[in-house]
Amino acid sequence: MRFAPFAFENSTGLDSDAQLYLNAVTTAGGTYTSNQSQAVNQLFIDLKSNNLYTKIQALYPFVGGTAASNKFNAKNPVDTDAAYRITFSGGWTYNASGVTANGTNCIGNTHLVSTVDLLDYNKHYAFFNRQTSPNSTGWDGIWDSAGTGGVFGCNLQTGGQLSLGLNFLSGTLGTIPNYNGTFIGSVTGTTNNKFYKDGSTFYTRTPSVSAFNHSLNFYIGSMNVNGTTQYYNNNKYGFYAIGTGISTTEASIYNTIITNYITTSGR
Amino acid sequence: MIKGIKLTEEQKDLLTNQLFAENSYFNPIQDINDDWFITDIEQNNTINPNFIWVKDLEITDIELKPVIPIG
Repeated sequence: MRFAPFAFENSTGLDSDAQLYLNAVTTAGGTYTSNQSQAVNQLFIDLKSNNLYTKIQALYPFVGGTAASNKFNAKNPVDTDAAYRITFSGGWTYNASGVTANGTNCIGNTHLVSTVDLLDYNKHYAFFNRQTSPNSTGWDGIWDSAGTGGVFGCNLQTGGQLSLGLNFLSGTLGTIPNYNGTFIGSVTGTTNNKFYKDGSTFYTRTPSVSAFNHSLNFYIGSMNVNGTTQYYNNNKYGFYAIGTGISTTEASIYNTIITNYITTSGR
Repeated sequence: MIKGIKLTEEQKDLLTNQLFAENSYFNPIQDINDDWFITDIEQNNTINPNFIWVKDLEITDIELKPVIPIG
């Protein structure tokens, strides 16, 4: 992991993009502590200095404690769907640790579209979950069509199991010791795509994967199944990001950066 | 079993795609009997004056539709 010798700072001493994001949070009525703003600042600096920032299309640090403040894509904190703000529906709760889905009717529509924004063989999602007791049937993401259609999302099952779809549902992939931590799914080609838990390779999917045929918005808190919302989860998100594919080395660094952000922001 | 607020078909139509607070939309869904409901979180946090009436609706036990795991 690299540390930037120089950062583009403004008069407040913060990275200019971090400051833009925090300004948007404040304008939307969100509040945060000095520690949290410093954590956001360091998140931006670390992502940039490790060349991960350019691989992220939508970055959600979840700051401010309200729906209005948590909606912003920190890379482009503009209050429009085109800027990938999250539209929240259902019974979400918000606090200083992020956003929590209720497992019943929560949708977080990122407005990233499967056939436009998410390249078929070059994409990733990364999130930090604080939920230790997932509801088993909940998913994030998109499923092209019931059956064998492409999938890009994650399911945390009870009983120590984890099922991560990248482009094809493949059942339970393995057992993890806990659900609190960083989950990353990365598609870098038609074959050998990877899932990571806390920065380490959890599963490598060797069979080739299919392209998405339907234009579907990527959801968090539930899954967009060819236009119908299903599989509501009860995840507690401290961080979420979506972008282009990343390598195993980058996944490890990414996990360190995300974990640092979670720790220093007091989550 | 969860706590929720049952809705008539007409109430469901009134709430669907409507804001209960800033950047927060109602999302009525159906329970095991196909009755529509919203969660107590949506009810408690409703500040949109057009829908304050949801606060007068009774909170009841809701049995969710079973979800068949995929994968």
